[in-house]
Amino acid sequence: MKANKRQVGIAMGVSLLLMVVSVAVVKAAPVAQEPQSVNLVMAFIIGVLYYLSMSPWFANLGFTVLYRPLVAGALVGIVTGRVGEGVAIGANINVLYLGWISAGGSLPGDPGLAGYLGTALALGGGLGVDGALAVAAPLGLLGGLTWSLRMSLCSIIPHWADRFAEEGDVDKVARSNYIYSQPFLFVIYAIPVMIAAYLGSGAVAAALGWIGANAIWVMNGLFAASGMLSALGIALNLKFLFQGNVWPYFFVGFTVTSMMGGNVNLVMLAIIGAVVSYVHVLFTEGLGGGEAAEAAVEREAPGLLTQRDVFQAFLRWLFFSHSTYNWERMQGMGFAHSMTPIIKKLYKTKEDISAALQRHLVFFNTQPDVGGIIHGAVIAMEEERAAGADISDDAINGVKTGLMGPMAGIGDTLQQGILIPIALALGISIGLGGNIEGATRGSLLGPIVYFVLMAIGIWGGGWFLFWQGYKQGRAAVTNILKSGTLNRVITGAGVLGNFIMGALVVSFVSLSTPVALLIGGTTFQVQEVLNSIMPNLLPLLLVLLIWWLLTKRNVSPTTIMVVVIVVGVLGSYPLWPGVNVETGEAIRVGLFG
Amino acid sequence: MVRIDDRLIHGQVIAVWCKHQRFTRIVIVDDGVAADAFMQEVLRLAAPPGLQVDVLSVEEGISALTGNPPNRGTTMVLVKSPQTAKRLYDGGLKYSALNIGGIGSGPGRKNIFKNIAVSKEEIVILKHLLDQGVEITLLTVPGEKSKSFSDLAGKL
Repeated sequence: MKANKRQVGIAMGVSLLLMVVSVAVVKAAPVAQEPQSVNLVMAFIIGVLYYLSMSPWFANLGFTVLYRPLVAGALVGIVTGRVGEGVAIGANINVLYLGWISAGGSLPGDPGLAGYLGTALALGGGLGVDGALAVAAPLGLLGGLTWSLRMSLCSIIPHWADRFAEEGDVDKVARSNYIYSQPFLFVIYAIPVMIAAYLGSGAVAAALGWIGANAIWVMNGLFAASGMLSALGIALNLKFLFQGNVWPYFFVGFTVTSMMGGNVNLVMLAIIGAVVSYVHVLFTEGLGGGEAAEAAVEREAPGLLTQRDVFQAFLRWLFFSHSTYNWERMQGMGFAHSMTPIIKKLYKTKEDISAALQRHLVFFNTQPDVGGIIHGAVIAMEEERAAGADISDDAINGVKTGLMGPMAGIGDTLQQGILIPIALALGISIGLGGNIEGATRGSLLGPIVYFVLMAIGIWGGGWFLFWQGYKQGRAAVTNILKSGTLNRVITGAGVLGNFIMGALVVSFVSLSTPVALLIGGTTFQVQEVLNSIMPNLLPLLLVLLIWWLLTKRNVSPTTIMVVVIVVGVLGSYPLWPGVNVETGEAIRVGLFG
Repeated sequence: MVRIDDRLIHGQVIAVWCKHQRFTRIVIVDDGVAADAFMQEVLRLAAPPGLQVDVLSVEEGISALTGNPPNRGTTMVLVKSPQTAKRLYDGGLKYSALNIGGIGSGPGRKNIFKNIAVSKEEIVILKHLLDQGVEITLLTVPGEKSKSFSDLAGKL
């Protein structure tokens, strides 16, 4: 507890300091000569949006939808009145985070910060679409700081909830999950982003102005680095997908797209990919019913709870599973909160209520959507216990602690590893209107399609599993797994994922070289030679190289990111032999075109 | 690799570690799970294609892992607690490195790093393993911040 108190002190101090600094800084900031493209009100809204993306108020679509740069870019675009550019910038930034996975409370980089602040700075500073990623990528690394603070500070709240549970106060336990953490989270998320968006866009504009006047090659370097960073995003995703017997489909996707000249509609490609995926699954796994051909047996419910009660519990879990996420109990408070309507209905004496609350305030951590099946099963056990069945605390705890791990393993693989990247790739592609490379304006349709896909999966799939858990009890888990559907979905999605990643290499990774050699009066354009071997050869090699570094040499993504930016910028210094296309005379060019 | 994680198989293990290190086999050593047919079935069914999951009691684990040593690079030995890790070590599985990925908090337990909480008894066990020359690292997943237990041991 001593450590906790110190952490609270530090966190409160930091929060207060941020408030004071923000007011001082904003007051002291020089009034811009030109009208600010990101004014204080806009900056404030952008900060609030970033907080909302990490908040519990959107039925689990905060973290899975609002937090993604594609959506963040669109929202920042709406706030600043430049929707088309916002979508395009967000989409480009998002490619870096296609393979981003936050499992079990780890947060490797912060796509939300890169999305909200990166888009704001790129728009406000006049950087535009092509260079945005080179600025946004380092920003994403800063998110880890607030994450650690949040996870530590929120560890204090469960101890308050413990007291309320002892008193048997259901409503106070619920409130302590969804209210107390939020003002603090608002401060640490919204305020810094507001300040950075307000002051940063001016700074970026000034820096770009200087670069434009004094070292235009740096600008080309930022464009080159951005184009190459996309390769890192794809390679990170391949770390997941490029294996087993499904990796060859990556090359199918790549060549099909490359043959079409790169200007293809990804939705059409996805249809080809889906057909290929169906055929692959049909031939490798069959489409039969697996082991559990017999119909799932429903347990006999004692009838103390209605579907409405179970749905009430589902809603609380859907919204508030991560509301007070913390190192000590992780989703423990979210679990207890979701049980409150059930506890109220089943138990009447203070002792029973208090015991039930304490039973569910312990450590819990799973993937929220797939893990809902555990809640369903636990609600079923609680109902039978209240009806008089002999079910011990240990039995209930055993189901929770035993199942939370495996369900998280399945859920993270399925959702973060496969479904989100595919849905994002579609959203990004639709947002940029198919004509991906060089698109400077995007369409809101992209983020909207992504939102709809995720809402169907998370709300629909989440409720299905929650309800099956209640109907069948813990046997729901083995019944669903035994049918083999899950493995077919994972394999099929692996095929589709590889296919789409191959297509994205052509669409998103831009790497070419203007280097040319004058030999005996004849010009040899290196890029033309490469193209005659195979179009898009350099982007493909770059993605495979980064994949190899990530998986075989264990190089960290951060290191690769830094190297790519440095190589992209420095390599663009005009040091290399080239030829002026119009006049035919030898000039010096940067390494990347 | 030997890992202590009271959630055994979960997202960090399947989605991150197994992709990172290319593990093809996970050996869970736990008396409780070894006696629970339902949980064994869940754990096996939850493993993605290409990953073999074995569940053994501590006794079985010692004889299986020492008698026929698995490939260190592709096998992860997963236990719930420092107690089990010590029983394996004392039983003859002389691992040189131990990863602690997560141990949930509770009454009488103290958070020592992120999501890792230990009891007094467990601190003694971990220090004992440290004295035997086992390198103990507190790390959820590769790429995250890690901490060496030997740096913490003095303060505990």
